Amino acid sequence: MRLSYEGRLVSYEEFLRWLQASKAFATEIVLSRFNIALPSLPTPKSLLLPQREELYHFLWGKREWKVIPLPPASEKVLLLLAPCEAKAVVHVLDEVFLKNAPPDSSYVVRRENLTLLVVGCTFFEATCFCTRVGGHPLSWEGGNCFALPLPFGVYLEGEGPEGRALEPLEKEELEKLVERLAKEALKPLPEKTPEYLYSAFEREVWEEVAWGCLNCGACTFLCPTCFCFDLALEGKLRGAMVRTWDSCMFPKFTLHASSHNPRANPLQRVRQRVLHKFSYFPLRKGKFGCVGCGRCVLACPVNWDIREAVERVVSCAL
Amino acid sequence: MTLREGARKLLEEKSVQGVLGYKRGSLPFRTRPYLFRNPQEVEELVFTPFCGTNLARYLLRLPGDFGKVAVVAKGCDSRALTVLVREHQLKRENLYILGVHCPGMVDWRKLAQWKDLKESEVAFEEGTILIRGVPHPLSSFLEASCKRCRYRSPLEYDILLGAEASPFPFEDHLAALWRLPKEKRWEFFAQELSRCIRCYACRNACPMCYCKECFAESHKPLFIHPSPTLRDNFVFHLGRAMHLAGRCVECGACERACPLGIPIATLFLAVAEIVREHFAFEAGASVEAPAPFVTYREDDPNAFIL
Amino acid sequence: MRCEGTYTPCLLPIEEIIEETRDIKTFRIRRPEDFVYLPGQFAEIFVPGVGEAPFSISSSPTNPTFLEFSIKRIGSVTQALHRLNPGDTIGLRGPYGKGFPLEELLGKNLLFVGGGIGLAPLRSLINYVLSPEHRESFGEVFVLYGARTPGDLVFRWEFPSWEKRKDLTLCLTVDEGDTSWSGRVGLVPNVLQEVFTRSCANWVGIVCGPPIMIKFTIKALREMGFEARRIITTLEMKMKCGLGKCGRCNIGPYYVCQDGPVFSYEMLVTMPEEY
Repeated sequence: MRLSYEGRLVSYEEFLRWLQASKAFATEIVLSRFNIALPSLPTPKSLLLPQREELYHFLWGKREWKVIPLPPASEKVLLLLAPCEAKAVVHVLDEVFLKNAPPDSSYVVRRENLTLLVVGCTFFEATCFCTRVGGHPLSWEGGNCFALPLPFGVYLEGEGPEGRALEPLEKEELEKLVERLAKEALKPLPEKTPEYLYSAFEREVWEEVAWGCLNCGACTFLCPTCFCFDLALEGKLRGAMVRTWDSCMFPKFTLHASSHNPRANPLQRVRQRVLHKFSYFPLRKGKFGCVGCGRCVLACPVNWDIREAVERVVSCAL
Repeated sequence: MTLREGARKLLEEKSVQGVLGYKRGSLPFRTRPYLFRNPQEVEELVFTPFCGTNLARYLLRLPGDFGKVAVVAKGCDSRALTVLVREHQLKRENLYILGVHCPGMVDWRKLAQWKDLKESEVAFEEGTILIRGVPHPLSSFLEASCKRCRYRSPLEYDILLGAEASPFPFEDHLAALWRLPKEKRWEFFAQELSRCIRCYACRNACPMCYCKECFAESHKPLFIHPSPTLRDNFVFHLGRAMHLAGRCVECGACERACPLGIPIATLFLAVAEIVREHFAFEAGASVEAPAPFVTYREDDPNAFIL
Repeated sequence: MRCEGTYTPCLLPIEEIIEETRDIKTFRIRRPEDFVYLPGQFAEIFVPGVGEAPFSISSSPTNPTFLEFSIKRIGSVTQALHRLNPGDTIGLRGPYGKGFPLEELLGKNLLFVGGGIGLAPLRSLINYVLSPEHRESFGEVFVLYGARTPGDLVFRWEFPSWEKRKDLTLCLTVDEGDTSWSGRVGLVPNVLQEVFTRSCANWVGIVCGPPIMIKFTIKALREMGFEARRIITTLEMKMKCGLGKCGRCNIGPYYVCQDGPVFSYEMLVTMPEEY
């Protein structure tokens, strides 16, 4: 869904008043661009797939075990997030937890309670690459409403406070912005990227690509699309089944009880992360599993850059 | 001789199989570790105030039959190498230490407030950092561990290259923390550690964390739950602090690696400080000094030792 | 099976435990009415206070009263299971995964090749095929089953009922015999080429066992002329959710828990060798 130009303009004050009336959160990307006093989230998935979630309790009572399902704690929330982050929710998380049957019962509740306010981007940062993976700085696909901070006020589409129509000059400004962004945008990755990468699974280039990675989980934990989780029990005679984020970067992620490990070596784990986002997920769902927010690039302690990795392997496969 | 010339010479003479150093990263002010294998690549070798990654970490991952490798080493890197040699993780004869004087490592996150800042717009002069021509005191941009660094130049090296770096004041940010009552200190750590997402970046960046299986990820026995509760975050970080007592080389790699900016090095620096005080020992500062936790002396002055 | 919450198990008592070998036991549970499954599917078993793990169902869906799981003692969950007694409670959620492609097997002769505990998922299909309501839909049945030693053979209590039948050939082998063993000695893939001497036309090979046994059995089947699409195997990967969500059991773009665990060899060759 792209800008219709048919939206309305509200003043910053009015916009803030509306936010304050709702239970609003903003992701750090949005907060760093938009100076609003809202509680911040390191990544939008922390609302939908909290890092720690008790799924059910169990306890030993009066000679028998009991299992007590826990309905997810959830309330209506307004989340301000960048277009790439909204895409992560709609294209990836919804795909896995809603559309892939059966839907995840706690995700369903939290998702229904979530209103996505997509905040458009007026510039690209050094880490941004949304347009390489089919995104756009002004797209609000899947969102409930769209806000764009402009010098003369906040341009709004979808749900939200009333406002006035744009003046012709203001509309012109907006068009200029769209034009500038189009000029600055990076080209999309080749259409066959998922196939190219898949065909390069066994190439030696992965040695070189995977070299610097420390195999920590900073990238995957902060990634808005990484959804892998662990189910880990807590307690003996009473306790909980806890769902918590897990990472394909961790050596024990795929460790069998028999001690066999199909991805025992760091190279295999790096390859898994790249291919899951740029090959496996797209081959299944027809869209990239990466939204180009650049968080992983920024968070990486050693500046391991997934953009370079994809380009390097694709160039080998071509 | 410059660092590049030194590295090139080693590769040309084939006296090493590779030079472990830094090259420019994909973002301004970021550098990344790189193993230079041939002399033509050396053009890309850099050493700037943004080369914080402790390279000793990467030596542990080289294949056993790699042969001799040269490594660029600041003071803290050289301390890490010394400890790793003593702990039989590396062989000194397989190392060629290219010592460099450390100018103090700058926290690139602190430059984020200048929008679109380019590397060419930042310069360093004695004790100051010039950002778009405006001087600022360098010390306020340094990483926490660097501010209280005692050994900026390497203690152990095969060749020492480059110019000596200008001094900056020793600033002990731990002192303020020590002065706080116990409860306040606990509160400080509790607040910081409650943010930890246990991505293990700190551990994986640490040159001293080379256990094949970390206690934090052990299933049998299970020491901590994989989900990050404050309690288990404490167990993880305190457990690591105990493992690092007398071994931490105060490089600050952990803090630099933290994606959430938790000042985690504080904990390890504090432990190093305790070891310094009670055992007059600094990890990796001397090749011979006995390491406190693997040394038994009958005449140990400490009353708590039987 | 309906439970509140996607990952919440239903608690069920163990009816009976059969000691199969020194490290394998079969657990028999009363089958909940709404537990509808196909041979080859699996379920997650929850041991309160210990954890949860996926196991293939070794009983046939034609058995209306019981569910059976044959479980080898390997990790913490299986160790805890082995310590349980009849009457103790376990949690169950499932069934998960795709079972054997029954449609494709209709009218075919079936060659089952199992190794060790790998017979468990095959047994579900064997008993399904042998059941009076389905027997006519399938052709001949040939079962080759091997284990390390005679003491490692599972379901020995059931073999007499199979051997009695005229429509099934059962052939047992062990890697290493002992004084009690008068049967065949030899590795499954080698024995396979000795004992299965028929033309492979209209036969489908269904293989399950340890990875190395699967690998060499498939090789043998290929040499014997089996087409890639006529070889079926079931795979094992580390799993948590069983629902294609937790992200760890993928082999390339396929989730073993959702697209498998049953795969044809034709499919397998297109997948990266990372399992």
